[in-house]
Amino acid sequence: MDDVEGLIRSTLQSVFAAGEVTTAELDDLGWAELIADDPALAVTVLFDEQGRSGASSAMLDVEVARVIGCDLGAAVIFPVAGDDFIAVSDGFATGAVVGPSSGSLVSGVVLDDGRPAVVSVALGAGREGAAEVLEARGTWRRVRFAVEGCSMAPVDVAAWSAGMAAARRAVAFELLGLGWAMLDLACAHAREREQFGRPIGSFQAVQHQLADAAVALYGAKALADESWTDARTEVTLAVKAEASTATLLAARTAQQVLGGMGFTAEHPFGALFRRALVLDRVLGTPASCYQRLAELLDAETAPAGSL
Amino acid sequence: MGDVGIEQFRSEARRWIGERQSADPDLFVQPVASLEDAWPHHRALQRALFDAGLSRRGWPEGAGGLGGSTTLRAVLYDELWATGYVPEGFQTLEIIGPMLCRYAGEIASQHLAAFIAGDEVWCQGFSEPNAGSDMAAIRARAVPDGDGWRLSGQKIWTSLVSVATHCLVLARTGTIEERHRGLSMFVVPLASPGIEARPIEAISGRNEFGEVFFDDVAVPREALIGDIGAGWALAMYLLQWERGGYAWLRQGLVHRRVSAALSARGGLAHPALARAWSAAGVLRCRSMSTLRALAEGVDLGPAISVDKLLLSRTEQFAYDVLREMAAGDFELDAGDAAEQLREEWFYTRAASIYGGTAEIQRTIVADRLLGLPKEPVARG
Repeated sequence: MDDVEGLIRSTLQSVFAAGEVTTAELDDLGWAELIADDPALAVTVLFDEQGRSGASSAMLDVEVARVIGCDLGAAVIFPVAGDDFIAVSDGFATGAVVGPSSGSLVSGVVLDDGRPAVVSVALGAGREGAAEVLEARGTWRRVRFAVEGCSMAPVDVAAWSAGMAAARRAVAFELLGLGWAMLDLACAHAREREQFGRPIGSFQAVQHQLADAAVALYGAKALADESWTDARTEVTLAVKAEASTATLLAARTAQQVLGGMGFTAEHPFGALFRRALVLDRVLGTPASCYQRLAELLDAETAPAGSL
Repeated sequence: MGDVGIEQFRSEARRWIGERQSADPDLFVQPVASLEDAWPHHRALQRALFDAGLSRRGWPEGAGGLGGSTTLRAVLYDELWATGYVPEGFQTLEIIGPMLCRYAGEIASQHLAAFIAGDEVWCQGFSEPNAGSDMAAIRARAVPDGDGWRLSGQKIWTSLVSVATHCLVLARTGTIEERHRGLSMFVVPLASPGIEARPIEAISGRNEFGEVFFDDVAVPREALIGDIGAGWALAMYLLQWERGGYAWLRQGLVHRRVSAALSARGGLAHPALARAWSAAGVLRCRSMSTLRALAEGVDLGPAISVDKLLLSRTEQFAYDVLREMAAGDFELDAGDAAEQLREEWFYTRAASIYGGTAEIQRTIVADRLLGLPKEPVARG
């Protein structure tokens, strides 16, 4: 790691130690300039550190706005499947938002008679026509609203797809950060916890499952890194799916190695695991991503990553 | 020859392959035959690529190459995979060639051109009946004799021995107690008096590997690679390239076969194939970053164990999907396509064994990358 990256990381670590971070706090640190300067480095490190600390911010919305080239002026409603558009069923749209307060505007893209359109709606507290908060896990909330009667605006589909591709990539980095945080907890425990007169981390049965999880995280990271130069929808679907899979493997392994401690509310593992499960769903679980990827692939599709 | 950029070389290679393929389509059809019968066909394409200068890019000038970044070799393999076929000789070349360039300039200048052209095939004499995962237990011995050595011992699981011309031998020049510090590396022509090579038929039916017996074989001074006692370090350097160029060749194969399966389904893709495509992309991107690091001369150390584990996992997973998609052809069809799939599928099973087993790699990852405590060692 070079000095610049090390400096950014240590700054982010102290900021994220607070748990929830506002975009204004990051802007005070000169974040906007850093992203303009080197988006690949800035965004990769930001979401990785956010994942590692288990913190949250609305930076995913900022990243989408950067890539689509305009600010929606509202919190983004993300699909909870591998599609670029939020699902509409029986006239109701369902998606996930990060962090907006009641009364503020939320926006997403739905298919209106087969045509993509931006819908905007107030996030409501029981007001008629407002988006209903179904439930919340930390800062992520599931919202549902009737599409009819919402304000609709045309959308640049290519730009929106690029925005969702960028979101899949950013969430993948956050997932991988969470994966490493959980694996690090398990490794630390395996070094210290003794049974049969030796650290449990000296047993191959423990070592090899931790190694397998690490290999999955390294592999998914290599693919995610390449998506900075190859951000096709096919690639970012794979990026999200591989990051989800690797992180949930890390979670399962870590929980096993942590023993009883991994099932307590007190241990820091629990909060990380819950966040990982939420992000696994946001923008599509692996099954959903592979389903859509299968629809997009053909024999001529170039492999991910070019020399 | 001036240096050539990646894009320029890619279009040069693509143009040549296209022209040559229209003139001689058979040259680009992977032979389905025994290893021995298929080899002349592999050699024909390897020779044509050498004569055209394409396969000499990315290898040093003065060692049969035309210079340029090692990445150019990966570009050529990508372009060849687009035809569905890369001659097998490139696999062993990618593993052994870089080590020769780095540590054996003299030997490289004498042999590498023939190796690239396919006139020579080198195999690795590392494993022994009692030195598999515990490679530091090697017993084959090179005893000083005049200016050179006399080599005796037995090697096993030597890949491609039935078509190989030379064997890279890891032999003991120190004591058994010195373990890995007492090993040196030599190159020995398999036609040398005192050598007997016996192929072993693999589960696929192919003579994938074999045994090599050395009985008091005269080894001249020039056959030593690197320094006396440096054999282990050279083998470790060589293994990095097995995770670099070799893994690159393998991801190309997996991508190609997944593409063919997508094509066979005529637009009805299956999520399992999407998963295989995605997994192959992971391997490709990992080995691409490894290749870039190796091209810059970075010593990758224990991180290469990650590449090896990804390689075996990806190959085995993707080929399991391909077997499933083949809908019974794999198990019941006698045709060439099914035979090729079976042979390739069985070969992927070996990926978690050769070049350091998956268990050894996991222990390296746990110990060196995750900092877990070492397992107490039992010494008998």
